[in-house]
Amino acid sequence: MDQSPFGSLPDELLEAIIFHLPPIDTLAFAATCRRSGKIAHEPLVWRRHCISEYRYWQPRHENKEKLRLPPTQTKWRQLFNERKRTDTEAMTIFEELLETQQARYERMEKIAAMGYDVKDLMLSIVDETPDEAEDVLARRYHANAILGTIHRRTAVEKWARLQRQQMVRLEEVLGAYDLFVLSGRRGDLSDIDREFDRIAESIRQRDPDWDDLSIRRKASQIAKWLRSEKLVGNPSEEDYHALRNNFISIALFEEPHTSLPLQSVAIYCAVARRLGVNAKPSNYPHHVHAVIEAPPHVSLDGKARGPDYPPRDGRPPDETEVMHMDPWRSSSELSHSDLVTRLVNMGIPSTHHAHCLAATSNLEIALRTGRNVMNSVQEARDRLRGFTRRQPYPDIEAAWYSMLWSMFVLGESSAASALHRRRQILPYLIEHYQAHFPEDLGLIESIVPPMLEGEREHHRPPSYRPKREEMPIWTAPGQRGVACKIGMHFKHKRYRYSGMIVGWDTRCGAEPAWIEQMRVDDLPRGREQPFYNVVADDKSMRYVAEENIVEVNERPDDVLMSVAGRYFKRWDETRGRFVSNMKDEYPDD
Amino acid sequence: MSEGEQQVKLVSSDNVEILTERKIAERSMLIKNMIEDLGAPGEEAIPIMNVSEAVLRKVLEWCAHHKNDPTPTQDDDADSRKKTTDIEDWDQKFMQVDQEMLFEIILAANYMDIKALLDVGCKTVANMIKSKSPEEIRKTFNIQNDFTPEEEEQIRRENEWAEDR
Repeated sequence: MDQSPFGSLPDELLEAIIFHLPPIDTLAFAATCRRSGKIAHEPLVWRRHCISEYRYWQPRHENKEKLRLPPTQTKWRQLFNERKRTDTEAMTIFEELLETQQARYERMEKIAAMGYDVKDLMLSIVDETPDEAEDVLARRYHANAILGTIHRRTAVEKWARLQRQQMVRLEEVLGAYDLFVLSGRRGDLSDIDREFDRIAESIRQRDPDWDDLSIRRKASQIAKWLRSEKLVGNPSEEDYHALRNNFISIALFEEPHTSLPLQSVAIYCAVARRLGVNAKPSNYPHHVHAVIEAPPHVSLDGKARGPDYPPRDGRPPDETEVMHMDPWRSSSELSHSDLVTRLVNMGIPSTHHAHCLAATSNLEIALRTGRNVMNSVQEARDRLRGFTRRQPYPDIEAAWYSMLWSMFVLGESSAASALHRRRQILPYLIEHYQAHFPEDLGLIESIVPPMLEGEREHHRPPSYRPKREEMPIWTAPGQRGVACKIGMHFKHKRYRYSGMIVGWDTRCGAEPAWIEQMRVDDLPRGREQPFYNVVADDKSMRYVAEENIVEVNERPDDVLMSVAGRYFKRWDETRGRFVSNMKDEYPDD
Repeated sequence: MSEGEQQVKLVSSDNVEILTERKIAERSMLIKNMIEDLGAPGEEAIPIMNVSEAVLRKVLEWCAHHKNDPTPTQDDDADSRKKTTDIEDWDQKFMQVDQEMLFEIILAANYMDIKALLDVGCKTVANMIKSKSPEEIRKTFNIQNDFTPEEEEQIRRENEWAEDR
């Protein structure tokens, strides 16, 4: 390096230059000579690359812990190389799955099994595939579907831990619902975690004497801050039950930050806990509050207690030990007598009051959220009926799916009643998974059977594989007389919904019962006309007679575009049709 | 005359005196601290021992253009730790000098403690490294390859993921 200008620079300046290089150029520079190599391979350099190139990591790497250690204690470069290899491996499988329909779910499952180590890669496929890419819809769809599986696996595992009475934090229990509707947005559990850390730190920074404040004072300061930032509450009473209000990450990251009282309280509790305030959601009926308990031997106002405190005489804790907050509505403390009066007015017997005012379990909060999601979805479906459809956010089917999973996993701990409940939910869960999330096959197969253990039917292992008609595989010989093509965008002549054709039969191939029920023979052309398998703009699969199909040449709406990637490569603007993704199954089309 | 418009006298390593505005000179933390220590700016000349006249004039040209920039806070510093190598247009033109001068500016910015200029200099060199193969980088900067063939083979193996460039 002697004659080189770098020879005149001390190591620290060479480091400063390397600091501005992306990984690939760092490597090239490192390969130029020994001195460059030595400096470019410092752990600090690769620690930076790990952090700036990848936001998400599998928990097994324990990166949060590693970042607290001195950089030399971690083999950052090795970690980076490992991650790059994972990217390459996942990308190879991804290209293969785009190539052919065969073993597609198995390939998706293989990638999803790499978990958070492929999340950044999948996100980049979703975000960075250009609109004019030859298979843009298929790429985005499948990357999104894999992301979904990774998220849902995490969510279901969190709930399964909770059900086994292992420690799961409140924000994780609720954030698990968010994982179902997350898609490419920010709001994963680690994002939520970081955001709460950040909020807590801002509150602490604002008050130099924070650590000396009494718990009571801290409790109200936290509520005040959250309310002034509009992170809790909901100024619009009309939208109280809006589906989005059930999701803690949407409340945190999306404007306006509206939420239900339960999610507001959870946000409050998560921040409070980071600031040394022991706050938990309450059992209060209809409207969750936060219950704040004094630490042992100190009152809420900071007075020291004797060692015999609290007295064990069974009386309920007094106002120096427990306080209630309703951050959804205000930043001041709730009066105990008001809370009791309201309970009396609700007709709740006084023997129950202590229970209503006490802290509840995370399991109870999870179940309550599941019920709220169910109500909100039903309300959203009612609202959508009869209107032109537009993509509702968060996705209704995904929210419904989260509710089904939580109801399946969570609940009474007695084996018999859990089994009873799961058996009731199972058909709905399986039906929903097959219709909307077929990529979850691996998740279903790994979680469901053990949870049904003890059931007689388990001895005959049930198949959860998607039914054949859910898989867009066609058997029709030739296309004689079939007028419409796969990939056509159409409107239903009578029902006016729009959809896309994903397959066809030369004549009605449905079961006789269906033919009778749908009165196919009453159609002018009857059952002896081509029938089409279509995906409608509410994402459902339908079977439509040719005479009811009216071609539409314009670009389909966002809902159809988002699901089209399951069957098609892209929308061809000039031909006004989707380009098929699966020539291997439809050689004649 | 306000404090910023006061004149200060700098002396380069080759003993040339340069007069400049105090505000411009104080982009350099080294000079700023020296002025504060001396207490009487303008009277005594400030020696800039490691920087030649040509380089010092170039550095002061940069300081004059950036004399009204806000001083970066600690927070900005953390944010700038992104891999972005964007350089504003004026700075880009300013840095269109021969390699020798470029590295002299970097050394001077480091010695005179002008963080923003040091950054621009390092980014400029980084941009000259980017999207090149090791051999191209060696050629650009006249670097002698002192690896043994065995070492080169090992590097190649470790860098497998970067092969497809």
